[in-house]
Amino acid sequence: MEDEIRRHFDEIIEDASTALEDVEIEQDYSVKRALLKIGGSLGNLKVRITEVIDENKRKYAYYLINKDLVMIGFDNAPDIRALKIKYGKDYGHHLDERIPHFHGKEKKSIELTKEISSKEFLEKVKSLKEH
Amino acid sequence: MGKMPAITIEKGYLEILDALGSVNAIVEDAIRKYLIDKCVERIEKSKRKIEELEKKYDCNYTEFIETISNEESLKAVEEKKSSWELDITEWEYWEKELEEWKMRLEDILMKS
Repeated sequence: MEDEIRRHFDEIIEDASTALEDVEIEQDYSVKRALLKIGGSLGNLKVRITEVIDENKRKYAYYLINKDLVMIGFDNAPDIRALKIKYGKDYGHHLDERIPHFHGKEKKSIELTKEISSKEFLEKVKSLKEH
Repeated sequence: MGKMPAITIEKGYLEILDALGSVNAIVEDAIRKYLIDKCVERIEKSKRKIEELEKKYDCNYTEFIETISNEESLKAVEEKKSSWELDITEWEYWEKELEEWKMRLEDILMKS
């Protein structure tokens, strides 16, 4: 399994290194899980990628940040606001559940999404930069 | 009981090991020592990473989970740390690592 994860992380690193400047990478491989953290910049904007493969489950957070403010963010953390959108009043029974979702500028909006890959995130970031 | 895995040892080493006693016992002891060192190294790394995050958020992981489970207190977190999701993904990773490597170390020490 480790080889497969390494290949997956190598692809993310390659994509990030092509799309971003000043790329910094941190990786950790263990028995049951692996961690990848990437930081980089795109002009004045900062890009941060954190991905964990934990017993075949993918946990991710991909953010575009301007100074300390979120421009856009995709993640599947168990965010209470995403849980409320998905489950309404029953959200309390799902507090540990990971929900893929999107945060808009300054986190003033949130919407549920499909699972997003880092490649899709980087493409979105590049298109935002071009416009 | 399943078949025990075989390992290859360089001939030169084998001659020395033979002179020192039971090759199997020596190899097993060396592996045990290596695994203990590895467990300690991983426990220390996990603790260091967790401490950095505890310092950043001024609380431990359990307290942080409680904080983000409430919309009002989550808003307060986001005023200071707008992209906490990056950190919680990593934080959970190191908490699990710490727990598992402690258990592995305990298992190895219990077997001696």
